[in-house]
Formats: sequence, structure tokens, C-alpha cells
Amino acid sequence: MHTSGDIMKWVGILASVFVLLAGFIRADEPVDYNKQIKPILAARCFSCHSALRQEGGLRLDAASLLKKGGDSGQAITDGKSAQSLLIEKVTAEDPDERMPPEGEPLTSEQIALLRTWIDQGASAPDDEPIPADPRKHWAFQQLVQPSVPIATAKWVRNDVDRFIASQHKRHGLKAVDEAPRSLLLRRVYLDLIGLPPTRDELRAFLEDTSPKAFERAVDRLLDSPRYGERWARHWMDVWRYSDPSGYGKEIRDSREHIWRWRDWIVESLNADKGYDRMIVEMLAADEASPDDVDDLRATGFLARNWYKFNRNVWLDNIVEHSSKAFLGLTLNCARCHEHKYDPIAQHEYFQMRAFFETHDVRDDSLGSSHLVRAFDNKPTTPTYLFIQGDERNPDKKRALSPLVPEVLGGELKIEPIELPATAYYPALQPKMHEAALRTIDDEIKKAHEAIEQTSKAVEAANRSLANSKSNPTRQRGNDSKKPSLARRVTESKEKPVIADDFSKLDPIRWTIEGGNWTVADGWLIQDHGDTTQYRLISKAEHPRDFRATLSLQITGGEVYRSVGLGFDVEGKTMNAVYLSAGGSKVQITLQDAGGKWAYPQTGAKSIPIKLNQDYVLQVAVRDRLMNVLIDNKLLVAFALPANRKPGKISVWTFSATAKFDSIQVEPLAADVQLAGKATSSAPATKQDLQAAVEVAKAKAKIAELQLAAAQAGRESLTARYKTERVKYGLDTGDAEQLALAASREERVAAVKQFEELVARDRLQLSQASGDPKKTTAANKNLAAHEKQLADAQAKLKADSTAYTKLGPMHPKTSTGRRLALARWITGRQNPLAARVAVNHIWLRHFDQPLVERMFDFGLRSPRPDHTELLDWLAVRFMEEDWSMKKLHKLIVTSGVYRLSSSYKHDGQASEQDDSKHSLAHRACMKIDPDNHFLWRMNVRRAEAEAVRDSMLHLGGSLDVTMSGPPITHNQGQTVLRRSIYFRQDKERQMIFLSLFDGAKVNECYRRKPTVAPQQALAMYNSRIAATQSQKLAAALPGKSNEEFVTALFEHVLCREPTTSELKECVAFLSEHQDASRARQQLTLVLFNHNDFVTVR
Amino acid sequence: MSTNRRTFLSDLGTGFASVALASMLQRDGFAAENDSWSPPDGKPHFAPKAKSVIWLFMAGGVSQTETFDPKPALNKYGGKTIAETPLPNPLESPLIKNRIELVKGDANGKIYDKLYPMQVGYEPRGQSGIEVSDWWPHLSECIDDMAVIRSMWTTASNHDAQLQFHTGRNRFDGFFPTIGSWVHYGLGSLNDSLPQFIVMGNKIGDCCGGKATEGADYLGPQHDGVTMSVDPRNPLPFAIPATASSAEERARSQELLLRLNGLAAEQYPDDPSLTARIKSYELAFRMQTAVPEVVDLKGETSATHQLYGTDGGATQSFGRLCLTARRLVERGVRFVQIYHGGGGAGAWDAHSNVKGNHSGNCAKVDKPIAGLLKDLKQRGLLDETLVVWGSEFGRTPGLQGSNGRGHHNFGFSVWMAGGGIKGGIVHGATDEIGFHAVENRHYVTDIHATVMHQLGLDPRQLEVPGRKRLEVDYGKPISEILA
Repeated sequence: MHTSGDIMKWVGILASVFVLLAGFIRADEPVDYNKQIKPILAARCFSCHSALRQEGGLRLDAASLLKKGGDSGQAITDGKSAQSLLIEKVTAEDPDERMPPEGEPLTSEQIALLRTWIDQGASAPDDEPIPADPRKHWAFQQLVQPSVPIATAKWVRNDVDRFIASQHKRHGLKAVDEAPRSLLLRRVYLDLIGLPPTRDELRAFLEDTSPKAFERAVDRLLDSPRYGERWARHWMDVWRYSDPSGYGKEIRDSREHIWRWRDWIVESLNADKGYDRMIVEMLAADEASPDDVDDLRATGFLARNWYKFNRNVWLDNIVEHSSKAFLGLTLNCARCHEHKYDPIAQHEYFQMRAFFETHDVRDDSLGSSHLVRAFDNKPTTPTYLFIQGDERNPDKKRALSPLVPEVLGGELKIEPIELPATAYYPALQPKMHEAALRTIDDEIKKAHEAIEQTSKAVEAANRSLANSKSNPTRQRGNDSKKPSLARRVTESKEKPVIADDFSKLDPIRWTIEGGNWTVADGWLIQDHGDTTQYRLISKAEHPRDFRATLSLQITGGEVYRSVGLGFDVEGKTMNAVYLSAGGSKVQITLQDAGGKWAYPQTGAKSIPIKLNQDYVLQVAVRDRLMNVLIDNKLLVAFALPANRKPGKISVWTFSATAKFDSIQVEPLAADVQLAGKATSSAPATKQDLQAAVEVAKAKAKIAELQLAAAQAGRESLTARYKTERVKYGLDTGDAEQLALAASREERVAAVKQFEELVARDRLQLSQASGDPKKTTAANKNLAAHEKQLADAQAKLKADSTAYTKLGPMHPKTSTGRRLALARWITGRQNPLAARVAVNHIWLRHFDQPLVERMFDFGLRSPRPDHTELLDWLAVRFMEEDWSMKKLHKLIVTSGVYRLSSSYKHDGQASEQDDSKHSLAHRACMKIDPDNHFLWRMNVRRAEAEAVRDSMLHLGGSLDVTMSGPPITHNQGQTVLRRSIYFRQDKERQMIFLSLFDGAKVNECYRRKPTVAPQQALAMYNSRIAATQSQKLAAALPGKSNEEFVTALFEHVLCREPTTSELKECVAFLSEHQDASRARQQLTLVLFNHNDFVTVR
Repeated sequence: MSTNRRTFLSDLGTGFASVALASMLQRDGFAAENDSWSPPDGKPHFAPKAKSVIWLFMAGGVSQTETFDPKPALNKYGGKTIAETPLPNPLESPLIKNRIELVKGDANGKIYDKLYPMQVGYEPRGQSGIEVSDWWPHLSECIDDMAVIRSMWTTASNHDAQLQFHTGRNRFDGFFPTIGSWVHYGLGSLNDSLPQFIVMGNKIGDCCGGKATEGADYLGPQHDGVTMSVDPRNPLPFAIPATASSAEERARSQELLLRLNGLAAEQYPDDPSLTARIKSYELAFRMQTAVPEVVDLKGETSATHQLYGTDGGATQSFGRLCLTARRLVERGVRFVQIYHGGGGAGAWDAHSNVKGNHSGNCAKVDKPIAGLLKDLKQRGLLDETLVVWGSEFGRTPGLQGSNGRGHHNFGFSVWMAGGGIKGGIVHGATDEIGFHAVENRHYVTDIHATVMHQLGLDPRQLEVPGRKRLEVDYGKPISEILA
């Protein structure tokens, strides 16, 4: 059959025609229609004059039709080019007359060729086929389930196989044998859950000799939550999942909180939600289940395309990728003109756009986070066709209504949807309310913490004051009976205010200021070594007199390689000491509010500081006297400037990468004696200490007010929620009474809030310490808040039923357009949705689709050889309620899925078998080298995520926590969760994953695996590879080296070693002096074995 | 992976890249439709003038008027608005049409119309007498080897112009292959132990393109720039084992690995990806030795260290990058991309205190860059190494705040040296105040085209089927500056 798909072939030949044209066209040399004429017509004429669109009743896609002509008569007169309409049209002077109407005119060589051909009698092969009507294209025909062929090959297990086997028979192919069971098990594990079986799982499977063993394994895998994660990643490729790119508020290409959509995908797959229902929810959950917070997450599909700068880009992406993903249609090709290959008109593109024209996305509050979701916000926006696709040139004469392409038989009914109050006023929903309460509860918790911390600070300040009264000369004293600091490093009676062993980086304790802080192997790591100061700052303040102990290693950096401990931290201001590996010294530095650093000469001491060596840095401060010790040795005694202010502790790096083991900060014991003298003559002590007590008390008071305000806020919210629920008919109650209470609670909360603010202003004023700028600012705030407080108090006097709404209100109706579209897509009459979905699933089981062009089932995809199988599967898929799990099971329990990928069967074949198989194999290789008919399984590289996750899984370290906001992309080596949970956008991807060809976020209908040396380095040297091989080597049994090697092969490669492999590995182990190290090295080698990243 | 039936990996030299790409295109149905298409074979399309490129990028926007494009009119009319001078209003020039693409509400979009005098003096330098500002005392000595292009323009007015400088496309158009990745894609390797497209220095911030400024986009990740640090302890991602081990121990386990994979290859002779993987490991292991060696500067003479300023002071950090760049091109690396001051908006983004900012930044890079040019020259490498210096855009002739200059994309300077570029010439010009490029105007892709041309590459022959390029993407080589 000669379809329009062949047009491309003609275009392909065009290049060679141009080469020919470089020479002369000689009237006496016969012109070849197929080689010289048809390519010109295909390139310049077919788009309007072919089966697709028969402008003027004329078709030029076969010589017989060309001769027949169109409405204006014959196109050519044989032998007489001068009288031929075709030549007249292509040579017309008037551009309005000339053909083709778009683009450059034909070249003089092309015209000469046409003339010569006509003059020579316009000969063409008699058997030239006439292309069929594109509307009859196979993929546009309604799905009818074909009958299952009869096939008898011995490997046939189910109906899928009967289709494949009949193809084998037709093409003279002979399938290879089934894969060995161990290999099959690994294949199906990686396929269904993206993780290989462990050795125990392998053994259990091999011991289970029941014929149902494999099916049982499949059932277990499909029931595993890991299945949803694995296949979610596949669908995230197809549906273009992306976290937002850009920075700060300049978010692009997606939205924050889009991860909820990822969680919805995982959960839906695990629950085996029907594919049809999934499409309905992704396109229109706001219309199908308008107040179901869980379902609404699905509309992240629409939010992903959100584009801040241009609504057209946003809608273009939705139209293009909804069409490609759900329908396998390149509708986007019809944006600027009629589709060049498929029977889709330009206006049909815009009619598809009209379904989405009215929608927008919004963030519904979920307390501290949001639900990003779609809704119809612009119900009256018209859709216009853009002339030649130019958005500056809309055709306003005619507004287009939503409609699906005619070729797909698109009738559909659109009905507006009245939304429930809980949808257009989402704060009425219990889930939203609970989330809001959780946020307030967090504030209450913080307030309680603040109360605890501030009361400690008051105690500490009082103690300092008391000490100064009882022993006013201590700080200058040199009393040798007092224990020196160095001798008292390990003993301390004081309760620490900060004690952290950095087994995690606790955001409740620390604020992170830049850099890349991660936790691994008990170390806190900062691995950005550029010349910027990166700090961790404690949430808690330290006592005025304190001792801090930090154990650390400097691991690298660019020049200075400095790591420090700061105190009195407030904004940029801090006093600090640091170790510099670049400068080989310990140095005290004083940083001012502008971030400028001073380096007092008396605060430095030269000592060699080595990389990767443990150091214990200790700082003790009493009033203005500061001692610095390293590894218990006093190095610097220094007098701080007189104006010390209370502040926090910081741990920081500057052009250094470093690891931190622990930190402890406690009040300095009264009896510890510091070395050195505070040099200033100003005895800052008593007044300063008194002032410090007052400040501490003020802060304690603020903490209490903060708690009261948060609690009142909670009461207010709860009362208003109750009232609104009654008002909107969701609950019953006395609306009037409730409103009175709600109003009152809200006004009380306002008073509490301003009380807190006034207290804060007062403290700020007292701390302005004569700075006129700060004093003026503080006074201004104070005056404003005092007035607001007075107003709020005044409002308490009267009764009222007025109160603030719980949150924003949105339109009460939705157009129903997207729901209608989604129902049409998933309707039984749609020829494409099920075919496209089945093709995606098939691709990921066989690494080869049934229809090659995943996103284009149009005329450029000629009828595939496996159409019957595709259609049979598609109908069955729909009949089984679009259950993906049932489809997976059908496929992976088929015989064809179980075929070996090699004729060699894991090296077990005898010489004789080998040559016999080899012969059959060679014959198949000759007939079907690309394995188009699946006479064996395809070998493939595991996807990036599977490579990383498998290593963690086999090492016993995979953290299977599910869901949640994306993990920072550069923590892939230290956070041991599945790869799907890491941030991935155009600008930020985990380097390990991108080295292994992870998904491209803009378009990824199919992955493209490569082999590159950077992958080798990642597998050989990464921290994950090192830690997991260490862990695994220690965990595997191994009284003898043979036993260990066998166990290792079984665990990592899911098979026994061959004799030669065993020999090599045992020799390797016995050559090594350090047995446990040798085993770890061998484990690392096996993770790097080709078979580890390969699925056979 | 599907078997590529035509050829498989004839040689390591052209890399797996092209093979992988060929098979991937074939699977996408492109190759089937375009039988005449094949991936680049690694050979130049015509005789090249240069072998390697060192691409020096100053992030943040370097003021043209304080570096390579003196404007006495600014001193004359300093403090006046343009309306108060006899000069034409540059905002009314036809050149401004369609050239402003501003992010709404972006403070950087304002045009500052009170003229601000040059903050530094100029002197004619070298034989050629080209004027260079006083903040480039060392580089001035090389002016006779440099071609200064004073007539650049671009469209982005914010720092996503950093991405645009590397891909030729505005950020709003999306992401595209960068110049380095095109070179990597087009040309074969000169060294089988080193990556061929290396990126060093303070990286471009996520705001401004991030990784995409060194990415290959649709050419495939194997053509992405490979980030290298000059820290000998960890110069490449994953180049250094996470746990220490002796060279001997590594050699033993690597040998075992190659043997085990060799055994697998016997078992699966029909698996081409296995062969490719074995070779990729061999290259990786060579890289693992070669890369730390190349960043180890201990063997360089003290004269060399003095030349680059790696012996201490403000020049040390950038000097190490420049010296390493020379060592890389010496060993046959094709494209070395070095950023100065990347991260956030970029170090040169002098909205205030342009004098302090630029004099400070120049002091950091002047000597290292001059050292690089001189060193390449004395080693006979300058002829075959093309050095390009640039920034995403220039800075306004007008004053921002009390002593700064804003972003300016209508006219700015770039220079090139070596690799068959004519030395000691100035090409193109801006108007009297340095606002618009008016003579021999060049969009950023003309720089790309010039680089490709000197390497013997025709960008049109590197087309990838299915990836439409615009005319402007190709650029035109700046023939006037070619020797």
C-alpha cells in the first residue's frame, strides 16, 4: 500500500535531486518521474493537492490523477509543456496567481525538469498506486478487537504470544528459548519496581518450583508500593513532570508544590486507579471531584505548563503535550497552518485550545504549604485563530468554540458545572482547616520553645550578674587554685544550651545561610568551597559567658580554606575565630553589621592546619575575655571590644569544604579561669550585666505574648470556621450566636497580636543605644502599633457579628469544557487514547514500542506490523477498566516476555547446543536484525533512577520514605531516598541522574541511554558506591572466599558466577592482604560490572 | 539498548557520543526519513586555523566604557541628561525597536539618562595604539595580538543574557546547545585521556541559566561541558574515590573489572553496548589519572607562576584557572570555558560603585589573562588557540544611583586573540556615548560563528534533523578580524 507516509521518503530523495540539478538538464535524456518529478511535487504541491486536501479538486500525488486534473481542467497536456496549466501556474509572474502560494517560487531548474518531462510525454509507471484517503489511516479507525490468531509454538503462554508467534511464522523466525529463571526474576523486578531482587529473594524464588512461582512473584511486585514509584517515573516522563526552574519569585515552566501531583501519580498507580479516571482527574479534577483535595493534586498536569510571561506559551504547551501524551497526535503542527501530514485543520488546533482557554491555576492554602490546582477563572475568554500562528494577529471575526478534531469523529457535549461551596471557597474544607490549624500549632510550639530559651537566658544573665557581685575581680584575677580551662575540657557541670552531634541537620535548631550542608556518616558536611561565607546559625542565643566546643575537619576549598566558630551573631555582626588551612593559622575576626571583617593582630597565632585532620576548636568567653584552644591547647587569649551584644552561635566556612562532628555550647562555669587580661579600662561589668538581664527579661515577656497571640489566633480561626460552615449550610448551628463569638475571638486575637508587636518595638527602642536612625525607626513603629493596639482594644467594647472570611472565594461555576474533553478522550469511541497508552506501557516492558513514534500515531506512522496485537491489547485494556496492573500482569506473564535476550543462555549451553542455536540465531539476525518481531528479548540499560536506587537497595540503605516536597538535587549522594523524590528541573538535576541520561523535563516520550566515561567515574568513585559496597561486603556470608564470591554474584547480579569468574574473583581476594578491604573492593567491582547496569 | 546495525564504534576517538546519537535518532524515526544524514565524523569541514578555544566569560556585565571602548563625550557631558546635550536621543534610534525585552517590574529595565563620566583613564597601547583603560596594565601589553570588537548587542536586558551569550537564544525561547557543546559535538578528540569540553571557575547562577550555560541540550548529555575544579583533590565530578585507596589497589580492582567485563563480552558477543562500556571504563580510568595531573601546578616554574600571578595576591585564584587552561589546551582539550565571578547576578554587576567594582575585578583577572596570552605565545600555542573574552552585556553610559551603571544590551565589547585572529585591530564602533553599536553591529552568535569558522566547522553541516534552527542561530563569521 502506498500511504501518504511515503511523502517523507520522497522528501528524502529530494537532496539527491538537487545534486543532479547541479548539472545540465538535457532534452534528449529521459526524465525519470519517480526520481526527478515526484520529489518536487511532494515537497511543494502535496500539502494542498493530495489525498489530504484536494484544493481545486486537484490531486498531484499520482501521475494518473495529475493528468486527470481538477476543477480548472487538465493540469498538463502531454508533450506540450507550453500549453500546460501546471507550467502556467508555477511560472506566473503575479504572486497571487503563482503556485505554490507560500514560500519561494520553484527554481528554474525545477521548472525546466517539469517542462522536459511533459514535453517527453509525461511518462510514469502504470502501477503507481493512488494514496488512500488519510481519514482512513489505521490509527483514526475505531477500535475493534481482532480475533486471536492460532499459534502453536512451544513458548506460547497467552494470547499476547499468539499474535507474536503468528508473526514469527509469517517471517520465518524462530524464537530463542526462555531466559534462565534467575535472569527472568531480575528482569521483572527491575521492570515492575525498578529495583533488583536481593539474594534471599532470588533463592526463595529458585526454591519455589511450582508453576505458579513466577506469577506469584509478579503479584507481589505489583502489590509493592515500589511499583507505583517506578511506573510513576515513567508517566512523569510522558507527562513532562518538572519542578519549577528560576529562582526566588521568578518561577518558570512549572509551579511550586507541583510535587503533590507526583505523589498523586504514585498513589494512583499503587491503587490501580483506572487510566481513564487518571486522565479525567489530570485534566479536570476541579470539575469531576471539585472539593476532593487528593484528586485535585492531579491537575498539577495543567499547572506544570504554567508560564508566567506568556499565556500563549502556556496554552500551546498544554495543547501540544495533551495531544501528544493522550492522543499520539502532533496537533501542534497545525498551529500556524493546516497540518502537513494529518487531516487536521488549523482552526481545529485552536478549537482544542478553547477547552483550556478558560482555565487558570491557583494555590489553595494548606497551612504552611499549598495545593497548586487548576480552575476555570476566565469563563468568557474567547478563542481566536492566530493567522499564520502569529499571536499578534488573532482573527477576531470568529470566536472558536471547543471541539475535538473532526477526523476523530469529535462530537461532545459540554455542560457548565455548579461547584459546591467547598470548591469555590476552599477554606471551608476540613482538610484545609486542619492544615491551617497545624500552621498555628507550629507557631504555638515555636512560642513555647522561645519561652524556654528566653527563660534560660534570663537565668544565665542573672547568674552572670550574681557572679560579678560576689567576685568582681575574677576576670582580671590570676588565681592559680582555680582550674584552668585546658584541664577542664571534658568536665562540665553546666547544662549545655546547644548540643548537637549532627546526626541530622535540625532546622528547628539551625538557620542555614548558603552553601550546601548535608549529613552523612555522622558528619555534617559543607561542600561548597568557593570564596563566600556559608553559615549555620543557631536559633538559640548563647549565654554572655560561655564555652563552645566544635570538632571538625577541613576537607578542601579554593584558597583560604577557613572554618570558623562565631558568637554574638546578630545579622552580619559577629565575633569569631577560625582555623585557616590556607593561611596556616588560627585567627580571631570581628565582623561588623555591614559584613566587613577586622583581623586584630593580637588575635592570631600561626600553626599548621592540615586538611582531613580532626580538630577540636574551643572558645571560652567571659565578659570581654576570650580564650581559644585547639585540641585542648591554649593558643590565643584576646580582649574583645567593650560593646558586646547578645547573639547566637554560628558555624561557618569560607573558601573551604569541611565536615563537622559535633558542637556543644554551655554557660561558662563560674570557677573556670581564663588566661589573659581584658585590656580596656572601662569596667563594663555591672551595668552591662544589669542591662543584659533587662534585655533577657524583655525577650521572655515577648515570648509569652507571642504564645498568647498564637493561641488567640487559633481560637479566632476555629470560631470563624465553625460559623462559616453553618452559614454555607455545611453544618448546623445558631448562626447568629456563632457569628458573635467569631467576631469577638477575632478582635481579641488582634489585641494580642498588637500587644506582642508593641513589646517588640519597645525592646528594639531600648537596644537602639543612642543610634538616631534606629531610635527614630523604633519610635515610629511603636507609635503605629500602640495606636493599632488602642483601636483594637476599643473595638472590643461593642458586640458585632462582623468577621473576616477564612480565605479567598473563586467563581461558583466551571465551564465543564475540560471534563467534557477528558470524558471524550477516554470514551470508548476514541480510537487513540487506549492505543497510545498501551504503546507506552509496551515500550517500557520491551524497550521497544509497537508503534515507533510514541507521540505521533498520525500519517507519519504507517500501519505497524503489530497493529492487531496493539488493538487487541487496547480493547482489552478498556474492557478491564483501564487497569494498568492487569495489563502489566498480562504482558509480563506472557511467553514472549520471558524469552532470553541471548542465544547463549547464560553460558550453560553445550558446544553442540551452542552451534545449533547459533545457526538459528544467525538466520533470525539476517531476517530481523532489529528484533522487530521479538524473537528474543531486548537488552537494555537500566534507567538512571534504577541504577542509583538499586545500589542503595542492594547495600541495604534505601530509605523508602514516600512523598513530600522535592529533596535538593545536590543531596543525591547523602540523602538515601528514591531518586524520584529529588528536585528535577531544567536548571537543577541530580548530577548522577543526568550522567545516566535521566529524563529531560521538556519532552521525554522516550529515554535515550548512552554510554559515557563520566558514568564509569560515577559508578566507581561515588560516595554511594563506596558506602554501599562497604556495607554489603560486610553483610554477605563468606566463611570462604568462594562462598563470598558466589553470594556476591547472587546478590548484585542475581546469578551465580561462572567458573572463570569465580576463579578470577577468588584469585583477586587471595592476593589482597587485607581480607575485608579486598571484599569491599570486589563488591565495588561488581557494582561496576556491565551486567549491573544492564537488564538482560 | 537497540543494536545499531550499521557500524559500531570503529574508534574511540570520535567518542561514543556520535554512535549513541545515531542510534537514538534512528530509533526516533529521524534517520529513517533522512537517509542521507549521519552524525559528525569528528573531522573539520574545511581546513581549520585553530585547534582549541579558551572562552573567558566575565559574569555580571562589564562596562564597555571603562574597559575597551573609550567615550570622551561622557566626560564632556558628564552630569547632563541627554536632552541637555546636542547628542541625539538614543531611545529614538530605530535600533532600539524590538531590542528591549524586559521582565515586567524589573528595576534593571530603566534607562539611566544622566550621563556618567568614564571612571578611568585610557592610553593608546602597543604598536597599534589601541586605547585600553588603565585598569588593564598587563593585558595592554598584549593588545597587538588582540582584535577588539566594540559593536556587540544582545536582546536580554537582565542576567539571563549570560545564557544567551552561550546559546545565542533568549531565555524566553528556552534552552539550546551552547557554543562549547557544538564544538564538542562537531570535532573529534585530540586526547583520549581528558574530557574535550571543560568548564572551570565560579559557575553561572541558577537565575541566569545555571548548568544550561554549559549544556548541550538536544545534542545529548555526552556533549555537556564537564565541570572541573582546579583543586587537585577533586577536579572532576566523581573523579576522586569517595574513600581513599592506593594506586596499586585501584589498578588491581580496575584490572579485575575489565577482565570480568571481558568475560561477559565473550558470553554476549552480540551486545555492542557492552563493548562500548568496556571502552568507556578504559577512558574513565585514564581520565582519573590525567585530570589530577593536569591541575597539579607544582611542576610549573616560578617564572610561570609570576607570569600568571599564581604566586599570591588577588590574581591567585583566576591565575590558577588561566594556567590550568593553558595546560589543558597543551594536552589537546578542545574547549575550555572559564567563568569569572559567576553566581547570583555576577561579580561585575556594578549597579553602584562601578569604579571600585571594576578596578577590583580587573585587578583579579588582568594579569592572569595577560599571562595566558603571553605564555601561549611564547610556547607557540597562540596560533592554534583561540582566546575569546566577553561578558553578557555592557553597562549604561548613564548614571545609576550615585556611582553605578545599569545593564546595557545595545552596545558592548568583546575581544578575541590567537587562533588565526588578526592582532592589534579594532572592529566596529558604538555611538558617541557608547549606547548603540552603530558600525559593523554583531549579535552574539557572530562570535560563535567566528569560533566555529576558525575551527573549520560549518554550523549548517552540524544540523540535527528534527531540530529547527533560526537564521540568527548560525551567525556570521566576522571576516574583518580574521588574519
